[in-house]
Amino acid sequence: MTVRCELCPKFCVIEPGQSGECRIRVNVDGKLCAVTYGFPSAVHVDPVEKKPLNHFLPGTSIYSLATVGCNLHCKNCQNWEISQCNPEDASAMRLPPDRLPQLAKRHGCKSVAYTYTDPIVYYEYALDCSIKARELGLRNVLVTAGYINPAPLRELCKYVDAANIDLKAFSDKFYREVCSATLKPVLDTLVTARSMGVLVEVTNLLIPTLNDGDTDIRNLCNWIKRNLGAETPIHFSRFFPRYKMRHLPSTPPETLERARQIAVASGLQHVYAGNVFMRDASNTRCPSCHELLVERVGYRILANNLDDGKCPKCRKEIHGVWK
Amino acid sequence: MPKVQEGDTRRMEMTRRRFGALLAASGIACAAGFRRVVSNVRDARFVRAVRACVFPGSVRPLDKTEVDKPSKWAG
Repeated sequence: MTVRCELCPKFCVIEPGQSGECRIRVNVDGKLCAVTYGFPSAVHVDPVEKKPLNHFLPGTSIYSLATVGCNLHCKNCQNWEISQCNPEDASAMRLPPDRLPQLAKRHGCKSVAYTYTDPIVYYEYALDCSIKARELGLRNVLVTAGYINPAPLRELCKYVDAANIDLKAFSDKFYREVCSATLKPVLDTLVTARSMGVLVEVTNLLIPTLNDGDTDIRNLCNWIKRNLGAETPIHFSRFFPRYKMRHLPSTPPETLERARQIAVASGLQHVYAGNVFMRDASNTRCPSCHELLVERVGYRILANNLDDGKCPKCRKEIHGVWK
Repeated sequence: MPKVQEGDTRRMEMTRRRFGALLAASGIACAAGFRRVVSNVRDARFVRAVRACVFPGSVRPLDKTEVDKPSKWAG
C-alpha cells in the first residue's frame, strides 16, 4: 500500500520499501516511518552566531544536531555530504530525545539547534527533542529552508524560540531550478513563524549571476519589511563553489556590501554580512542612534553593551532574545 | 408618503437575468466557503511518521571530544 507524506509541499506518494524525496521518510509495510529518529549524524557545540543568529543569546553555546536527509536538493548545498546522503550509507549516533537536554546542559549550552541539514525532514525527532529541551529550561532553534506545510509547522513552532530561515531568492524560478522547490511555502513559513512569536532571522546566500541583482535584493528586502517587520535581522551570506555549482566564482565582497546598502535603503534595521570579513558587517548597532551594541569578529563577541535588551545611549528596545 | 414611481418598481422586480446573477453569485460564495473548509481540514490532518527501531546505516558511539568541537558544517 502506498503512503502519502504530508509534511512538506512535495506531498511525496511513497511505494512500499521506498522513501520520499528526503530519503529518510520511508514506507515500511504501509506505514510512514522516520528512519533517522534518534540517530543524528552530526552533534556539535557551536557558537550561536554560527547559525547565524545575532539577536538570540549572543555569546552563548548552542547544542547543534542533524540527521542525514533533506527535502530540497540545492545545487549549491554546503552540507551535501550529509543532506544528500542515503541513511544506509551514513553513520549516526544513538541520541534519544530524553537524553539530549542533559547532554546539552552538561556542555554548558542554553539552547539546542536543529540545523546543518533541514530539521523539517527529521520533524518528529526535532519536535520530541524540542519538547524535552523546553521541559528542562532550554531554548530551541531551527535552522531551516522553511519548506514545510502549515499544520506541522504550527505544531513545531509552539516549542521553538528562534529560527534562521533561509530565503534563498525572491524568485520562484530560482527555487525550481536551483533547489527543486517553490517560493510561496517558504514565504508562508516566514510569516507563520513570526506570527507565532518565533524570533526570525533571515539568511540570503548571494550567488553570482543567479540571485545577486539589485532588483532581486530590493524585492526581497521590501517583502521582509512589509511582512515580517523592519526590525527583522537579515544576513547576506557569501557563496562558495560547492557540490553541483563549482563553475561559479565565490561572491565578491563588493556584492555583499551592495546588498547591505540596498537593505538599509529599503528600511531594514539590522543588516549583516556573513562568511566574509568586512568591517562592521557583523556588529549590531542601535537603529535609532547608531550606537555600537554588540561588537563581533567572526563568531566571537568582543563587547556586548546592551543594557537589559536596550540601547545604553537612547534606551531604545532592541529586537531580540537577550537573556 | 413619497409616491412610488414606475421606474422604482421596475428596478425592484426579479428578472430572469437578475435571478441568474444571484444564483451564480451564491454558487461562487458556497464554493469558496467549501474550499476554505476543505483546506482547513486538510491542514489539520497531518499524520506523524512512526519512529524506526533500527538505523539503516552504521551506528557509532557519541564521542564527547567530537561534540565539543564546532562543526565543519554550515549552519
